[in-house]
Amino acid sequence: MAGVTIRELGLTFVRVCMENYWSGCILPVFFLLGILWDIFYHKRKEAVVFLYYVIFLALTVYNPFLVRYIVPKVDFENEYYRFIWILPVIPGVAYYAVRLVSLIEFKTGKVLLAVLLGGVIIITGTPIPGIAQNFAMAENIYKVPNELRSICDVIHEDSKKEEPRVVFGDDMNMVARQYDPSLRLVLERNYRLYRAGSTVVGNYEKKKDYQIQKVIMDVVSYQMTDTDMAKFKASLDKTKTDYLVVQLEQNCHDYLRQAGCVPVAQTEKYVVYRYGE
Amino acid sequence: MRELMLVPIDIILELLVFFCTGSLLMRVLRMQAETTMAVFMGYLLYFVVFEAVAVPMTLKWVSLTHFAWFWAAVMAAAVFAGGIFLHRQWFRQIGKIGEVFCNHSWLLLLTAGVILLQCMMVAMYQDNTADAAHYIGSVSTSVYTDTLARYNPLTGALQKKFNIRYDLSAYPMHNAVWCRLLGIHPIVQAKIAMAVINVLMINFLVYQIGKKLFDQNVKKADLFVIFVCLLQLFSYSLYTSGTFQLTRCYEGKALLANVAIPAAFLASLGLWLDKNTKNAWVLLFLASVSALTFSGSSIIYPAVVSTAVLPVMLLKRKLSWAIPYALCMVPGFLYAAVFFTSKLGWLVFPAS
Repeated sequence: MAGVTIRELGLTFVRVCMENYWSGCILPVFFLLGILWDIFYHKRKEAVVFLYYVIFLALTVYNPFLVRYIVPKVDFENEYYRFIWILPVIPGVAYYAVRLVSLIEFKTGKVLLAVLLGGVIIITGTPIPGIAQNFAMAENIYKVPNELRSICDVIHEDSKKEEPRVVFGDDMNMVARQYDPSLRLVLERNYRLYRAGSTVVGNYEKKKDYQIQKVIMDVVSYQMTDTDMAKFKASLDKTKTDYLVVQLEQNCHDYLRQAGCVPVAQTEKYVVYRYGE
Repeated sequence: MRELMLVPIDIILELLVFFCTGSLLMRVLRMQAETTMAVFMGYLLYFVVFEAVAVPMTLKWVSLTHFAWFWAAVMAAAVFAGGIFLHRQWFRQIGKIGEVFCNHSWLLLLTAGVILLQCMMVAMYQDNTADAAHYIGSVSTSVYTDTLARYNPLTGALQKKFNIRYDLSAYPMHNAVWCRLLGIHPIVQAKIAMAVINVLMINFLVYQIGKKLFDQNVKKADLFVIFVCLLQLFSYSLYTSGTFQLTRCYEGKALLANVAIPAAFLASLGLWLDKNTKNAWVLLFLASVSALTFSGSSIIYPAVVSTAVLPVMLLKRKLSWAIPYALCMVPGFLYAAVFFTSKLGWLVFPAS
């Protein structure tokens, strides 16, 4: 979980993780209300499972004292949220919803209550963006931008190598090798994420490789065209870059041409440059 | 067009393998025949055996092609054995389809519609997560190089040593095998075919949990599936199981959150409610090994097993459960031991 450390939060680490995990969703409240309903009114044998899960986890994996001392020792702070998957909140809420519906004897009443409970879930919940809200439809069966497919074709037509080394200036870097693994990426995924400010991929400030790739990222991703030209060319040489793929709207195209990059193709949104022979 | 035609063939073949494997297992365990449970148990058993076979082959640098054809023979044997020993049972199950519809009534159609909607969502969703660069890249790279995880999926370079955090979990190699056998593109295999299968398995598991919670009442179980789907859709944060199921169903972590961990919950229900707990223990053991196949994050699985078992063990005063409990903990501890010894540099698995 990004930005959450035991060193800063101490004993409140578990609570903050829970808050970030549920992020305003009140399902845990419904879950606890259901358990209380069971304890004080409608006792059912099968529902005891939710109670013992809560108690056991509260005493162990969600115990702030244990977490405070053990989790840092096994270097599991970033992944601690995965322990929250163990708590059966969603099956629990669904179980109590079905039990409520079952209390009604008449079929029409059952249907109406089920629809009402569904409405409560939708209104109080947070829809998954891109799925339950503003569905993000894939452009093609490969789930990559159509432009990437054109760019890969262009590079292979132009290149004499079977595995050309390519710089992608944007998120195409993340999907390129999924679609076309014959492309060798110059910019490493973790270095890109670190350069973008991620705190969970590690600290590469002192790594020589990172510093070399950072020069390239500064120009093609962050449009820092005041970067020393000789340093930029040296980075391209050291990384044996063959091609650069840069968004048309970036303002580094003149810089790239001056650095010796030759445009070989242009798609709707990208320019493909060849570097070197 | 070719890829589009391969997707349903891929799904049907894989489901057939899971169904035959699971049916055989349920026959051995003398469990009552039930289709969704057979497919789900077969899915878990498949990945248990796959992990046991794929990891040593990976570490021994066996080529993807050789491993794929070997695995094809294993799957064919399972399907053949299922056909030989269980065809009569299957004919009887087909004969009971009318009874199934009567028991479920119109709720079955609604539940099927909800499950189909989830399948379509994961199949058509445009995913852009950074982690896919590794998980899918691993499949693409293995297919391209005809190796098992020997090349860095992010850069394409030959690795000096295996990345234990990822390469001990053989799930991506399962996708690579099917890509090799069917000629299907790795993205299509992982993000469409297998994502749809995973969604089906998650819903079959939820249905089984519903049946267990409501004393085999199938209508209540159907309604339970519908409510769980709605809750998964409307419980967004970057970390929730619903987000992983519906946006990252090709990742092993999604299967840990939505298959392996809930399977332990189902096992816990079985331990708590059933007189004969043998099936619950088998399910828990299969889940604990298949968790390793899915993701290195299964390092948390000993906590999952302990939560599922220890409270019931205390409540029912079953000290005799210490042995099966320990057996179910072994896979997680073994993995943790290999992981930490590798991290400390005591154990190195060269990849070149």
